[in-house]
Amino acid sequence: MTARALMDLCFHCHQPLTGEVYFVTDKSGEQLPMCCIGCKVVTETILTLGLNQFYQYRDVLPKQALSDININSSDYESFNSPEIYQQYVDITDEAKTHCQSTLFIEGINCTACAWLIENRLLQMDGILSCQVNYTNQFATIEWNNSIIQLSDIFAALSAIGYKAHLSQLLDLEKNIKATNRKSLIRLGVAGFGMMQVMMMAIGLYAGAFNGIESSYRSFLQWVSMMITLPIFVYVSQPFIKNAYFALKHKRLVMDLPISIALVAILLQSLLATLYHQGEVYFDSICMFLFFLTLGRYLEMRARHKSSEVLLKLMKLMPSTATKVTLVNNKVVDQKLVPIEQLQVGDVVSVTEKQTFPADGLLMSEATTVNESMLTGEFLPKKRIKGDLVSAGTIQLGQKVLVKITKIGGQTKLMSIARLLEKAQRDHKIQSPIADRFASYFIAFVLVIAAITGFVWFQSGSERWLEIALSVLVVACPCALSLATPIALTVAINTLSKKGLLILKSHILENLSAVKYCFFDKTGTLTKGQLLLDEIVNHSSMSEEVILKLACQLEQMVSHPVAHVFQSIAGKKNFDLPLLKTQHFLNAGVEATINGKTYRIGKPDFVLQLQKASSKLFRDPQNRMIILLGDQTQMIASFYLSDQIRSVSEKVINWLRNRKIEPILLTGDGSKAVDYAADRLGIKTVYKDQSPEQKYQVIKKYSDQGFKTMVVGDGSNDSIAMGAADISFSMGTGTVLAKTASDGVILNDDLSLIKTVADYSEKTQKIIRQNMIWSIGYNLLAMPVAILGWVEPFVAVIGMSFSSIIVTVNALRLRKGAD
Amino acid sequence: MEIIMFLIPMSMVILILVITIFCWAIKDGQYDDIDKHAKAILLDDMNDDR
Repeated sequence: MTARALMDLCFHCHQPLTGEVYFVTDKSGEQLPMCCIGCKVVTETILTLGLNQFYQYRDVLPKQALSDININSSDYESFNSPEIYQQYVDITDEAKTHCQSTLFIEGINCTACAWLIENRLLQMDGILSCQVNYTNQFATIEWNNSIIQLSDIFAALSAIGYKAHLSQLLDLEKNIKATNRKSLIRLGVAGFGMMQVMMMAIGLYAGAFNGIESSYRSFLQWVSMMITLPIFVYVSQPFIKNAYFALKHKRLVMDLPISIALVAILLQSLLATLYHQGEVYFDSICMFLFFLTLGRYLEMRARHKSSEVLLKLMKLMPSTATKVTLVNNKVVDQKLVPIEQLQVGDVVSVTEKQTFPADGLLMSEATTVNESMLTGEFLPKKRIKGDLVSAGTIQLGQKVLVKITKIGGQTKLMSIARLLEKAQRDHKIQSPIADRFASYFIAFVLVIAAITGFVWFQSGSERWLEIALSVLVVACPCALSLATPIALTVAINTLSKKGLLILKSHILENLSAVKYCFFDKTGTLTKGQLLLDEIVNHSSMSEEVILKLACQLEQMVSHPVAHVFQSIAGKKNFDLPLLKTQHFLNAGVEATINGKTYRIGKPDFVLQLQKASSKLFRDPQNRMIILLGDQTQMIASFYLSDQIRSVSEKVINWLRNRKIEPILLTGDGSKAVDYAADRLGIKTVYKDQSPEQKYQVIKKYSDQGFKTMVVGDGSNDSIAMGAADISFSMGTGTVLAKTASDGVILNDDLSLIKTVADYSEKTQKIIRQNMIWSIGYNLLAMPVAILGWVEPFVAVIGMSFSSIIVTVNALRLRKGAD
Repeated sequence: MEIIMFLIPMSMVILILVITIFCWAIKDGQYDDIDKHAKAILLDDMNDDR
């Protein structure tokens, strides 16, 4: 096991061991080090249950368990209430003992987690079945309620380190699941059918060369037809439907010529089979259907992947809320209810670190709220009585009461979700320009085929229909219709392996034309998190001692500033004894050590302790200043800042080399903006911009005819993203930003923009090659077909060969992906 | 060669069977999570240990 080599890391979570170390003894008597009680309990549970294989096969490390591990099932007793059961549990038998429920499980990182959960639950008495889906993190559990109850299941999951949430499948998710299954069936049917029909086709080809009795020939044709017909009816539906709707709205889409060609070729083959003359193309039809369906399926998977981000987030919404009854502003009764039963006007209580279940007004005096889920801002916001709090944001202060103003679909979070759903529905991977061009070409082919048929008919030939159809077959748009989507699909899949999720494929077409690139500052060019930049020592103590003191004061606080010190303590392996501290909202922390009172926090707050006048603390770089002091003196000042990513400079230089002008467009109005622009060498800076102003700036440039690109991470960038030609969001950005953008940089590595640009060029080249090949082939073959000279089997081979060339050419984009 | 008059219809029956089984497997949810099963082979030998 890897952990043994790293003795200074926690066995369970691989965090560095700071402070007290706990030990667990495994089967072979070896002492395994643990960083906290939580990890110890989890590991003990996993080992005593004989599930130690989890540690061998996990590929992502679990989060530190910490002490919010609850193993006592009485803590979950409230989940056994009839209201909860009614809402979330299906009871399937008369005796009301056979129950089934689907839980969303937070903390599933890898397949080993899924295995661990399944095995742990199946070991319990009363659990009838358990299926964990690793992809969407759901566990479907059946149990006998007379032996085991919902609270026991929650407790058991908690004991092995996973937090379960009651959940109902969201509509979007049900939708995804259903379409995924349907497309898979279509793909399978097309594939199996293709194989069968091709087998017949081999017989027919062999017959064409070596001679075949006409009765066998006819038999093989009939069998091919009987297989092809039902497959055609089932698999071609999406294309035919699309074509029909486009025709109704007088638009020319790729599906229209595809459908016409498919139907025409089918018709020709049917006639040939029925009247025993001419050639059949059933194998081509099936192959064409299979490849088209495969392309659509891959496209759909990419689309579904992008909505997973949001789904995960929405599943973290609490499924229950503590509803309180107030009499004369005093809480007289409280009850856990499913979130669906909440109504506007209800009052709920929300404790520390809980998520608000709905939008509402704060009734308690004041608290701080982490709104990063909506805004991307990492510093908690202060909220006072009467302020609005949003569903999905996290309450950080003491327990508060909230009066609900908006529930369910009306909340801010859900309206974002709806936006995303709409965007997902409307979007298809295709390239508008190439698509239109191909459509016109195919329209041209249709006209030519019609004219050919008409001319042969006029000249009195009986073969007029056969020849018109053979023109269509020869000029079949198989290769042409695959040319663009297959290249885009391969490029998108390759890029996603590199950490870039392309949501809208037009990125790959437009990127080379971009003239201006707008960057957001916080979280995009910078890391979006506070780091200690500099310590100024005002005392005689050593820096080490000062740091230790600061870390000790901040160790129990949940605030970004405190997290800076906590991570330092972790890195430096400080051994910090626990301390009773007092946390002041929006100010700092106070504690008494050996009779001496210390404060750390905002300058005013610390200076107050020394009764010193509030001296002005200013930093030319406009970094955040945190002071540490006791009653008599100031000990040190810490400068914290959000540091610029090391890759930012490289990307800016690269853009400039490509004659793309970088521009800083940020909502931040502080001097830190100028400092960052200076460091990176960005000349044009727009600062202190509201979301609308950002939009106006982009519009100004677009109106002058320049192509623009926006890279951002916050919801305040999302309107600007909509206005720009191309937009990227960061993986750590807000959901709204990711939804609005055309591509998500999942690992926050800005240099991927360069990779996309390279791929954009390569993809364009491949698409051009594919188009030239397929159109060139068609143009050459068509005159021959018009004259009625085409040998049927040559036409079929040419058609298939053409498609294969296009596919293989597109696969070249994968080079260097793995 | 008369045998193909029997064998080919047989193959069609098998085709129908295969498609039916495939549809059943999908509706049963066996293809909902493709990643998990790739590793199941590594993890499932637990029962042999005991």
